[in-house]
Amino acid sequence: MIERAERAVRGLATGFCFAVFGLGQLALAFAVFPLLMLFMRDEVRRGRLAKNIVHLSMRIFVKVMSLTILDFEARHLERLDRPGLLVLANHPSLIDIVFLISFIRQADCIVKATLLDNPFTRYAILAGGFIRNTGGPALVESCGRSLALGNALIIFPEGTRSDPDGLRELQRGAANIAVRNRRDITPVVIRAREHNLGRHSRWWAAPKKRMSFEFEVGEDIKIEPFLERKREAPAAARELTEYLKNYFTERTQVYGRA
Amino acid sequence: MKTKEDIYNNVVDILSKTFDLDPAAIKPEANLYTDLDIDSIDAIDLLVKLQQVTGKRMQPEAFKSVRTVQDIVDAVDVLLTQ
Repeated sequence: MIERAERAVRGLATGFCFAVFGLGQLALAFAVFPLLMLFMRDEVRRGRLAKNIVHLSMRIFVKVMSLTILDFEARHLERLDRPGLLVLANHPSLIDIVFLISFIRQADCIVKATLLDNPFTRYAILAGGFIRNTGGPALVESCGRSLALGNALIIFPEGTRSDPDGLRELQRGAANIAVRNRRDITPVVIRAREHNLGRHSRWWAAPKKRMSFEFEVGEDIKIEPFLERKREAPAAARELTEYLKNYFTERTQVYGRA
Repeated sequence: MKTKEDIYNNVVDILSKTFDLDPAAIKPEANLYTDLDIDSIDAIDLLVKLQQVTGKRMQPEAFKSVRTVQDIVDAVDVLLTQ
């Protein structure tokens, strides 16, 4: 009985968090970012400011969530405190990106091109100069430009959220970005337990226990050895993708599921 | 690069070296995208390599209908006889 009541409370708290997120998004989408667009013409400076605003908002939101619906633990966050990082992570839940942006002050990410047509996301993308997914080689180039500006570029190489039973097949885009821009990779392993924010899960049905997340920033994966072994970029990207697949699989199977 | 056989051998060579593929897996009827796991970024690299070997510019448009290894050979053959 108590258990069920507790679960119901957690369901309500989850709804509360969604509401907080929605209200924050409204304020940013229809006030803060349009104003930035109006009054700041310098794209680079505006992008930096907008990214800082997004970072601070996510920090606040993570605080709200950790007070209400979840626990989290993060190790070696200092490794993320460097400019121009290529950050790759597995993707068990809806809020992975929220955490990652809250850890990184100057985070860039790739957004679906259609989000530009959505008024709720349009001005954040424009003001922040976030990378639009144009696909293929053009995307690899835009990612290189972002890294050169000193942004930390966050990519989920699975391309979408993980499957309920673990890592999905990795796309080769992330490895191609690393190989073609000669950037080492900073891996973040995310372990999510008792969460209801995965693919096909229903966020409103609260899990049995309080959600818990673990973030572990690994040591950089050096790109040079891959380039030395395979002279051709596509071959190096393939080998690197295979390496990443093993890297994330080994480290997420601790609890039997990612 | 004269006969179709020459072209085919060249294509197999490019594919196996550039993408680290097992030459035994490369057959005329092999589908580039499903059998050989070539993605959109790879496809551009493949175009560049083919241009280097043939010395002719291949239009990405012409490459859109290419599905199998044999399709590449045919496309290159058309290009060389033009």
